[in-house]
Amino acid sequence: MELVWSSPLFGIAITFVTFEIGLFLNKKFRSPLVNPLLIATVLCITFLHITGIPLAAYQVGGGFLEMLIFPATTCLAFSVYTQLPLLKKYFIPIVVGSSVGAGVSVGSVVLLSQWFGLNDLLTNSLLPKSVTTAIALELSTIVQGDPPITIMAVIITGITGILLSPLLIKMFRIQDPVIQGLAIGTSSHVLGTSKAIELGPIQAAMSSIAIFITGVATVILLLFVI
Amino acid sequence: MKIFGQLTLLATLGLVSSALASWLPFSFPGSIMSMFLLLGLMIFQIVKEEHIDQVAQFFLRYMGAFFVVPTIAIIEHKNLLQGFLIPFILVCVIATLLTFIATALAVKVTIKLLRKKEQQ
Repeated sequence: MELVWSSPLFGIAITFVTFEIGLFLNKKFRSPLVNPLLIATVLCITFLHITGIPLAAYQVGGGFLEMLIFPATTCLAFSVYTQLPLLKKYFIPIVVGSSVGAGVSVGSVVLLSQWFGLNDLLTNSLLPKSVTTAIALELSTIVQGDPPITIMAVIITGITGILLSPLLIKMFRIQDPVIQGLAIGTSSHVLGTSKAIELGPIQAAMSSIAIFITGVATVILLLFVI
Repeated sequence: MKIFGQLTLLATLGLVSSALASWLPFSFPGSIMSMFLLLGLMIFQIVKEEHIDQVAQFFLRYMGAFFVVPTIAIIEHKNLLQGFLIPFILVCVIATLLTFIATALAVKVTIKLLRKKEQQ
């Protein structure tokens, strides 16, 4: 049996199977809480716990998949390119909005973490929480955070955006779809964008662009300012 | 054949970007350098949409699957969150709400100012 789990294919197969289950459940229930990444993670951890297979064995094949985060991040450029006409049309509001959002996100994390008494490691892990996972993971390492904790923060942020953004739009009477989309994408990245898609095509496009610009603004902020 | 060509392009871009990032006098993520490089090449029409579309759509669609591995490492780090779970979640939620409000306000004011300038 050890021959099976010591194979690199073990980690790859178990990740794909659990993620596929996550995609299936997400499609079926259409709830932000049924997030494919979250489901796959919980299923993998449960499977390893029940079978007693060591994490290191899973990581042999998992390492190959982790390597693919690099090209996946590169492909974000493709999604921005497809939205180029909108980016040109609203360039200034997009850059201003996403940069202010990135600044407020980082600033509020620092202040709130101090207020709640979080240690430096947790605070650093929270700093890139509003950007998409691919960029957040890179930034977490650079600012000496803990990447797995950063991913948790990114997921909680996304779910918050999905659940609370319709409420905020109503509360603050935000009627302009451009503002709605930018606020959602800047504050809650890809997960929030799934909500923006439900609101309308302009919201969805603006939210996707905001993910990229917020990512870039946060990189600049964390690498050069803080 | 088309997919193989697109994968080759993506891998080469990654390698070139890593080299470029390592030559910078400050630490900069190679993947983000690669993202800029691809966007630049596409804007200047050196790389066209059909040179990368199939592979890019695959990676964008299944991106989450590649993050399962680093997320599972939380097993080894769970003690870091012990006693801090509630404040950790509260920081996430409150900061997200503040970011949403600040962004909406900044965009609203910017659009208003631009329209005023146009009218003048």
